[in-house]
Amino acid sequence: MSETEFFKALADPTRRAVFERLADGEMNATDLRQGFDLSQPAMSQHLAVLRTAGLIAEQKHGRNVLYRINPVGVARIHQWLSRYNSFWPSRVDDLKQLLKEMDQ
Amino acid sequence: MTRKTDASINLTYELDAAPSKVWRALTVPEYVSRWLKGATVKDDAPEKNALEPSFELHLISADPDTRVRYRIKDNDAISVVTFQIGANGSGGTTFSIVHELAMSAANNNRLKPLRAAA
Repeated sequence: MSETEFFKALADPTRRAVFERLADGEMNATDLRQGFDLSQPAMSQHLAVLRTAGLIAEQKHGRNVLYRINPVGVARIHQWLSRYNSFWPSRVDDLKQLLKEMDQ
Repeated sequence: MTRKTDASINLTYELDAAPSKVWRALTVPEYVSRWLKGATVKDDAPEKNALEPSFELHLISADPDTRVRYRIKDNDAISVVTFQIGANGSGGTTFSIVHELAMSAANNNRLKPLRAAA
């Protein structure tokens, strides 16, 4: 699974919302669908993409399947964040330099 | 509320230049490329290289002297950055950067105006 595929899984607003809802705690697909205008097959497909991307994990309890956030996926998001958290301050230093060099 | 899945960066700076000048630096391509493009990003992970050469900016929207949004495509992800500016009351500019990993409908109205309190 490449980085690009990982982030593509999150680029879809619905999948991202599903992922964010799971941050509140594990739940099954039926509970997850509440509040989303999604058919059961559509939800299943989103969950499959998220699972393949390593963003969520599933656990079977008898007939019930519970979905939850995969900590490895969360760590990858944090890695992206830390990259840009050091990126922007150095860019702003260059912006300040540019502003000095620009005409009014 | 900050959640563990929240993938956004919020930064605010004070700049020693008038908003109209900052606006040009943020929107005129020749200026943007001088401070933003060709940027390299360091990462602790050994397999990760600089963001170059696939750091691309695509304009989404622009409200003159107020706010401009770009889509950023890097090696890994597509994200959206919003630059917002406002006069800071002492001739300079308050400049905020909001950078979000993915477009989330819930986040669209969360930007506050940047006017400094009198």
